[in-house]
Amino acid sequence: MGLGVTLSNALSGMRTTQDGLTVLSRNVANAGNANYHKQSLVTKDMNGGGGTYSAYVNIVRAFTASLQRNHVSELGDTGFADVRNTFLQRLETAFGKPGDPNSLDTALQNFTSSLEKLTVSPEDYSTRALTLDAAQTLAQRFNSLSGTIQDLRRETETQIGAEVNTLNQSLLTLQSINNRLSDKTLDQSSRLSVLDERDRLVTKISEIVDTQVTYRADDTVALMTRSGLGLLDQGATTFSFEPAGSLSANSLYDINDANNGVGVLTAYTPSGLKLDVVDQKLVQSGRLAGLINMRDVTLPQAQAQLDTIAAGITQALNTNVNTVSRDDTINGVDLDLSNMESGDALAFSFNQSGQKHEYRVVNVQDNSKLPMNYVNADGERVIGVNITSGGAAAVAAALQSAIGPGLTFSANSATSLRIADDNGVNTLVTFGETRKVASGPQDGTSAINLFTDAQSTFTNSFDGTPQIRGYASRIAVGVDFMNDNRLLVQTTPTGSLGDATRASYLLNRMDNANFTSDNRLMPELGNYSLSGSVAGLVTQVINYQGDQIQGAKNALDTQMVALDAVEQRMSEEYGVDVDEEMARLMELQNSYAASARVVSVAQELINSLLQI
Amino acid sequence: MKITNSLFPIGGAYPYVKKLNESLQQLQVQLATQEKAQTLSQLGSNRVYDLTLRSRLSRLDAFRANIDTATLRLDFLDNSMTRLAEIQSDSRGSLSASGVGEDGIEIASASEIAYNRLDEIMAILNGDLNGRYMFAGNRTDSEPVVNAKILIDGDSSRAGLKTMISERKRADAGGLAAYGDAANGIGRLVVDRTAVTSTAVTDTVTLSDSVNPGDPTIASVSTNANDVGGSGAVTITPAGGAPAPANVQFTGAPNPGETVTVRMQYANSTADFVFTAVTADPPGLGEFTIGGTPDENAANLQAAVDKMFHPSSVTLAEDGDHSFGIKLDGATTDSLGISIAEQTTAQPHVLQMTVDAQPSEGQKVKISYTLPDGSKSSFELVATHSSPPARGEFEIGADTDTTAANIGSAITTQLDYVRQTDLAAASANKATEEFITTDGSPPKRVDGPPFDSATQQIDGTLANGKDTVVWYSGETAAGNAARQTAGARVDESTTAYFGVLGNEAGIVDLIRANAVIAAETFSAEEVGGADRYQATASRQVARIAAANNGRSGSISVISLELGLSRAKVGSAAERHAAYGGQLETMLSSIESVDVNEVAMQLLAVRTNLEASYQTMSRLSQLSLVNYLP
Repeated sequence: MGLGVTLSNALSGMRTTQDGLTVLSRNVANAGNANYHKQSLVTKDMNGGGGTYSAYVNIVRAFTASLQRNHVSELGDTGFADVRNTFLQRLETAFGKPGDPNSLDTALQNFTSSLEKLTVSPEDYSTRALTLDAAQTLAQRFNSLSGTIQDLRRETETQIGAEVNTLNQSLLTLQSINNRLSDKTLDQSSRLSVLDERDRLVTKISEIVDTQVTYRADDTVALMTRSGLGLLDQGATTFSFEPAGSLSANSLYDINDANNGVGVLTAYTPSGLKLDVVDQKLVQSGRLAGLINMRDVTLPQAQAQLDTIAAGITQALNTNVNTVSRDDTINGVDLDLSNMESGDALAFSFNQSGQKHEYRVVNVQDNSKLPMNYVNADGERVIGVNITSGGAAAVAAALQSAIGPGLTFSANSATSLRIADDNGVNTLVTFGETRKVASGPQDGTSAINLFTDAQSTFTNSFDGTPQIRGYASRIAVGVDFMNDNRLLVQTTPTGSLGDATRASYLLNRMDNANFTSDNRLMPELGNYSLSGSVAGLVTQVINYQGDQIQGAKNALDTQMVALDAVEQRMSEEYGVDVDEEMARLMELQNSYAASARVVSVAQELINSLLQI
Repeated sequence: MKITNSLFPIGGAYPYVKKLNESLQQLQVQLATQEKAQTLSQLGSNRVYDLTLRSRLSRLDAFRANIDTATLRLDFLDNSMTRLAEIQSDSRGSLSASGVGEDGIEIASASEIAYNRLDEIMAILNGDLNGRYMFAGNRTDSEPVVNAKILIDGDSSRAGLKTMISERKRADAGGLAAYGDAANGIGRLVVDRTAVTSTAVTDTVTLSDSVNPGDPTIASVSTNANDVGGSGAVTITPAGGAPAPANVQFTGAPNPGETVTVRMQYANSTADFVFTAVTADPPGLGEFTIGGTPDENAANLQAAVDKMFHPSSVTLAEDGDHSFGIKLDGATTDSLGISIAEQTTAQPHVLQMTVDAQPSEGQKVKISYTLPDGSKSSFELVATHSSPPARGEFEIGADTDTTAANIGSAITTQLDYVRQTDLAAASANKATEEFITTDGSPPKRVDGPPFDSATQQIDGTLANGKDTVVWYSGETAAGNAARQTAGARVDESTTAYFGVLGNEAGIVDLIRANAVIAAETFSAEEVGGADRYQATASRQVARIAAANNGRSGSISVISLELGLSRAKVGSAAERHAAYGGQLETMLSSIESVDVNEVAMQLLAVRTNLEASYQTMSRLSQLSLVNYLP
């Protein structure tokens, strides 16, 4: 051993220290950069040339695959919750708080109160004008809420387009990064920054779609959705979105492409497969899934609920209910089926062997909707019959085959149906009624078409597209009433303006008429059915939407806590601790100073030797 | 470069500080708005209570508004009804006053005073509250009654009460129908004696005019025996030569109830004498017994005619089957010499007094009758020797025939006076009742001219050429439903009813009482003027007597029922006030914040935040960087 070895050892120490300083300076410079992963120097004692010295071997980047996968998964769910929360908060603003001037319940209460006042002062012009005003406000609330909902749906499509763009770009970039990483000749330090970029892109993608990541040994990644759609392996899947353009309440998602009214999201896999992402339910979480969920479920559901209320209010006011009690001389009831519009109905109930049965027959003129036979949310069996063309005979035949021999159905004439029981031996008809839409403002009946379907009569017809669909966006106060508000009171052109009969009827119907949402129309929207009086429907809808919004907020909060925890953990694992680096700096400084001292002493020794 | 919170002195504390900051903000907003929740979702599980409470409160507000309206209307009605009650008691007072006043001034002014009261009543009934006519039931958009002027006088095209009364008076009085002093009708009655002579030869009765000049003559003789389904047993032919206008020949037996009618022609009117075939034997006045042979029938009819037109009897008969004039009820006498026959079942009624023996002085004949307005009355005739007899007396003549004639004259004189007093009052009363109807239908008018021989009434409509004022155009409600013609819901299940109709019994009575006086003119100067006034006034006093206060629809009952309604409204208002208060409290416990609590929380959060900031600022100094040489 000689001085040469000493000098060489010291020099290797100084070189290692310099390398350490390089890494340290990079760490300090990137302190606070979220995408930067802390790096550290790995040194090794080398034996050779008669001595041991430390030498630079590798720079290691802090990375834990499981933590990373955890993060990616949380990001997808957070993205989903975030989208829902953002959209629902805007819906919340539109709904307003109970008691707010723009809230639906306030508008309804004002309308009911105005009817209440109308029963006391029907002859007063200003009372009638106020009633109409309240009716208009109510209709406008429905229009504007519907508008907001459909605006939000249109916006989901725009955002889906944008997200798909980002997703495609990110996947392509990630594919090229994969290619670079598989190149083993890549310089070590640039490789580290490529890895940072890789992780950033994976994060970005996982916010958009729910992603599962596989980190391979060569640092490349493979991505697939939870449902198993490969996003990136050797090649990247590309997505394409064709927006439907202007969405309305009638544009609904349908698995059958012919009936589908919303934009189509398609995935093209590298192997050339073409997949409909929504049909196959390929994305389950992430922002994209959140947007699709808003567009196809949550927002249409809110629209359907508004439609139910709007239809309820309209039908409460425009239906003449004619109840017939049992006539003992005919052992049953005779129902008048004249002037039945599509959607007009007759209802009856009977006891059979001690059990109560309720039936409703709806006039359906669209033969493609027949036969119709289902049980509605109130437990009534609903049977569709084309009464307009078939008359009482068709109703009698349909009911006879549906109910069997317990009751006898016969047609007295084309427009009169007789329902007869066996006088209590087994069956007893308890009541029958017809529900018909008023034919005009002064037809002598109390019901009025105050609310109209864009100025045509709303009968809740099932023909073609069910009339109720999107009704909330079309509901409008009848122009007849706007032109002459006396129609609110006068049932005939010569009727007295002081007659409160009509006002009382309307008020009574608003209070007591019951409605049920028809889930059959949109089974995909879930089983939450509305039922009750008009005010009850409004309460239920506001409460339900409030629940939804609150639920979305809570989900986001929970998700944020989970994400925060993971990110906290990540910053501990990957983040740069400046104090630690500074301590390390001193260490390196001391180490360098010591090595330098050794060199200087060795120098002195050599000098002393040379001076001999 | 994305900067994360790891740059903060203590990165882990950052989310907590952020949360503290957020709650500080929320507390500030709560303090500023005094509301717990700012959005729908923040209401949380209270949302459904909040909605229910609000909808309930809004309902209460509507009910309160209704209560305010109802109270206002009840106040208005209260004032109106109080005034009507005052007018009613004024009317009672002034109409019950006895006597005619100095120089008959009270009678002369009665009409004017009644008109003024009527004017006020109509003005009250036309009273409106914010454009709502309160006495019209549900026809609140137009005046329910006409004004007093039109009511009494009519207008250019429509007849008023005055026309109605004048027509009715003429129809009730009838044409000149008696011989004697009367220059006018005597209430659609005829006094007859020997106007027809009759003879029977085998199966034929010959009816001839009286031989006395000035007596009424036979206008026609008719029978209903030849109508479809009749017996066909009677043939009437004009007999040859005057004064023998008609032969009545029997070819068989008439059926019971078949009649032979002799129509007599008086100066200015006619009267029917009806002879009815009956099985009874002996027959009553105006009846003949059905015999076995035509000859017997002829003999029986002749006897009946002879009995009716007997020289020693006087016959008082209604001039036909109609609703006008005096209706005879019966006659009595305390004289054994006078026998009385009555035919008061079939129409027209006939009374006959036969003087069999001369009555003694002071003995009386009393005739009872019904006036057109349904009131009963009678008069007595006292036998006297003084000549000429005063009104109410008849002179005992030289023989029974003369006495019978004198009774006839006395009846005529008396009836002439009745016509100017009681009958006039009754006619006016009846006309007023028919004019001021309670059901809003057009008044019944006398079908004329000629009025004095009219036999029926027709609707006073333009179509009938008799356009008449219809005094009331409000709602007409049957029975006790008047109150329910207007109402206000003051609660889900409570409706306060306060409808009052102008045509309710009490109000109608008050209007009739004043209208009939207002439409007439009275003067103590004219014959029977004071009596007519008394007859009219006493009828109206009875109409609005305090004894009627308990009847449904009287002014007192209306006031009472409105009072009940007011009590209902009042108790509902109290209930709402109490209930509303509770609801408000509940709502505020859901929606409002307790300021003290928020202030305390604010303080706590501030302290917390300050402490955190201070710690962080201290810690931020503690970087190794600062201590490196």
